[in-house]
Amino acid sequence: MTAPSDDTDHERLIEATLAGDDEAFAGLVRQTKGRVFGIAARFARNDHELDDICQDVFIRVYQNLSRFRRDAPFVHWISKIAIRTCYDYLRKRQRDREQTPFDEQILLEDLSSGRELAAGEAAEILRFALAHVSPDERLVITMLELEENSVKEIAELTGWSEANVKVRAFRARAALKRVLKLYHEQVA
Amino acid sequence: MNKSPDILDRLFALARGQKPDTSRAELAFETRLLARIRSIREQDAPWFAVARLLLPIFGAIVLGLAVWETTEPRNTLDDLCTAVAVEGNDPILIAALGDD
Repeated sequence: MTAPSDDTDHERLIEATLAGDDEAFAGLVRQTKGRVFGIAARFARNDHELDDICQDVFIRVYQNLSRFRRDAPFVHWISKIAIRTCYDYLRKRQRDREQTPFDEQILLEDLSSGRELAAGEAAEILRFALAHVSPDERLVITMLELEENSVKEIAELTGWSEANVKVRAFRARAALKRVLKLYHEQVA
Repeated sequence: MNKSPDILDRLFALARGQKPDTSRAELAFETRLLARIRSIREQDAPWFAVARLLLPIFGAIVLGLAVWETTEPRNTLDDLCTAVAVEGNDPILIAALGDD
């Protein structure tokens, strides 16, 4: 949730941007980029793609700024655009599935041996498994389990119904289990 | 792999604490973004530039037509209906208007 002073500041910067002040838009970006990068980083494969996604988000923001209706905090509106942009990237990427950039055999052996995993390793395994589920499932499970959004929040951000979000989350979990099982069997 | 649900939850719990480090990508982001916005604007600009260049020409044409319209004596006989009515020798028109 954003503080009222943030909203006032955003409002001032929005008005200035709409009047043609590029520096005001840069200020708006500076204040909100943390949120956008946080969302996009869960889906981007590398820094270069992260930069591309975030630039696309803010270009959409810039081009649609006059349509911001002010019935919700600016950060909420910008998060919606970020989620949709990430979803577009995931769909675009679906055809050429992500190649596993790590030694999956070693990590999955570690996983089944019960050894305590480091957070980085867990993130790596999840990234690998998430690359094998559909874009909508990946989006929902990431927001639900990693970003810790509620079903209601995800429904608001994506425009999908709550029931739809729940179904996608259920399918995502099942798909992830399948992927992990499949690779475990290959390793064993 | 009947341990899958546990493993999945364990993975999520561990990965949740691993916030992606975006500091490198965020470096000078505003500068790159504004440069891209300006280049998009420039790509759109040629149409506006051409329109702006043509504006004086269109203005001159409109002005010329206005001057010509006011200075040129209007010949009412150019109007076919007027001509026919003045000369009064078109039987069809006379019939249509009435014979009296």
